[in-house]
Amino acid sequence: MELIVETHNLTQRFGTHVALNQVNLSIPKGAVYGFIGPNGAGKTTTMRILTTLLQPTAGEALVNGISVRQNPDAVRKLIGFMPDYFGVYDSMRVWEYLDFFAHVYGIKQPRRTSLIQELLQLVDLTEKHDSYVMNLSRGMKQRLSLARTMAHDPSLLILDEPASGLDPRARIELRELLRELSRMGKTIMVSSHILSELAEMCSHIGIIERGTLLASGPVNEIMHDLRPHKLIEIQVVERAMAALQLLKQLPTINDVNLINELADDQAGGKLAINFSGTSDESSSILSNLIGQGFRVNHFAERQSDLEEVFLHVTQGVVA
Amino acid sequence: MKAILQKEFRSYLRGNRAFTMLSIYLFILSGLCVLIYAGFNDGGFSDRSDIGLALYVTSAVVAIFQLTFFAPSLNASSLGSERDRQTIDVLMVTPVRRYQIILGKLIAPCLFLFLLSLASLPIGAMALLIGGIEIRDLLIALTIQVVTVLGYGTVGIWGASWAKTSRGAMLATLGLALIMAVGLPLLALLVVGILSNDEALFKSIMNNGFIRNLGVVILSFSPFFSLVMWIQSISEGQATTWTLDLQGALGGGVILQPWLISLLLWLVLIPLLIWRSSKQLQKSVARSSGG
Ligand SMILES: Nc1ncnc2c1ncn2[C@@H]1O[C@H](COP(=O)(O)OP(=O)(O)OP(=O)(O)O)[C@@H](O)[C@H]1O
Ligand SMILES: [Mg+2]
Repeated sequence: MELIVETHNLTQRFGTHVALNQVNLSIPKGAVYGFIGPNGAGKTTTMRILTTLLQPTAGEALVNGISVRQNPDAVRKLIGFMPDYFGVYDSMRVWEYLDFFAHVYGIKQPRRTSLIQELLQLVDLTEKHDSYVMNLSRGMKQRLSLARTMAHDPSLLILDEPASGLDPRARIELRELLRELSRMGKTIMVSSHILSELAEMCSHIGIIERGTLLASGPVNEIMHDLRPHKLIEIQVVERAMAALQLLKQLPTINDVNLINELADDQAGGKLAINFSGTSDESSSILSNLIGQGFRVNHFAERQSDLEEVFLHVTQGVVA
Repeated sequence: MKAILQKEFRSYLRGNRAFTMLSIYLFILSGLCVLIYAGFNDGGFSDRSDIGLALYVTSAVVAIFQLTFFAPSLNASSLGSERDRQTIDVLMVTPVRRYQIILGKLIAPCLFLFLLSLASLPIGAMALLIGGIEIRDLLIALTIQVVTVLGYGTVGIWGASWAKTSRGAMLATLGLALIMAVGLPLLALLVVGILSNDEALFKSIMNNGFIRNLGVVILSFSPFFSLVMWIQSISEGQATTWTLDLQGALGGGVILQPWLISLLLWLVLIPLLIWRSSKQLQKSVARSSGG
């Protein structure tokens, strides 16, 4: 697996404050890497080091094997960066904005003109070609900003909180756009403090808190490692109390609870099972219940949601 | 860098700031000249060459004075506004070099200010026609204006590479420019005034060539001072282009014309400031947390 981003004991201090503490990141080529952490965790700091804006206090950061410290110019050619603000010039027209950056990246005419068309098409802003940037909506500015990061066809996109401040619709559009970019073969590193924002689209995640990388790797592995305990919800139409007794005796189950209050012994109800077995074992729980004559109308493993993983992990560190 | 310049010019042409400044500049300049001219007319007939000289002096002094205000503030806001809006970050992750950003941000406002200074040429031409001055005098006044624009312009850029906000940079560098332009000569006047109470001491200091020359060099940081010195030479009717004969005053001897010293000083200082600004810009951007 080829890595496009690697950091070795990356450390950043601001005065006495340690913003990053020996972070070892690795992002494989082609990944969509969600970089998640609460406010002040060090996400922006990491990204500013990777984009050569900030020199790390200690440690090393490599982009495509090139040191950010030693050869920042070469790194700059490989990356597209979108900061957590748009970085747009209000008094320019949309095409002028893109033209400016394409020019800065050394792209010559007439290629520039066609490139601008392609970029606008990619981010779906073709009709806004001649509009002033200041008249664009927030979501549009965001997309324009993303188009800019693509001007020199970088292999790594570093996007700092791209979804912040967007309405749900704009978020969905953004997500689609990032999927598209990922299909085009870009590696994308995207930060957020809201996990669900990234949940479905990331192939890898890293969780950072207070400058320490708590977990990093493929999404499913991380979720597996962090949540060995699954939650199964069951609903029976009647005799919930009896079902509870039965389930308590099953060896594979750690714990069972009633979720709702029961009117009487015969009433149906919802149960929650804390379970750490395989899917074979969970299916045998179901057949066991049915075998005993319980009428089950709901049996489902709660989708372990990244949000929970996140809370779980980060709480471990905050004293 | 061509890209940066192009972008800057576009925004100058687009905003009405440029137009407003041009209007204010010409309004003040021509207004004062009309006053001078009218003043002379009222005072009955006088030597034509006096009128020409007066026009020249007024337009040159007013131009320098305005440029002293405009150059640092316009340049400070040129770089500062990128930092305010943090577009500078985005620019700095592209392969443009730091000095190219600095140069682009410097050259655009300076070219605009040159335009202002050229716009005052007609008044100079009028003075030339009326008489009392030569083309050489116009060229020297123009040179001093160019030094003012570029010199105080780089001071503005340098300030903006330090300051957190463009407003801060504007105020600080404007203050610095004013101190250099007006404060230094005033201070010199004060010192000379105090010293001249004690004739012996005054003479002994002024006769020390080193101290006197140092004084002249320091004062020449102010293009305003060198302009005043030049005006004085021509109004005494004995200006030599490159050198100034002190004719016994201040210890006597011949020194370079202050305008030339000014030019040479700033020729050294400007590249130095540009280089420092590039370094400082990198540091300042690293220090800002990025929003
Ligand atoms: N230039 C700076 N000077 C001093 N401290 C800084 C600077 N930049 C960041 N910090 C500190 O470093 C820590 C990490 O900041 P960073 O901006 O990387 O967090 P973040 O994860 O991006 O947070 P957010 O979700 O709020 O954007 C914070 O405690 C912050 O106060
Ligand atoms: Mg941040």
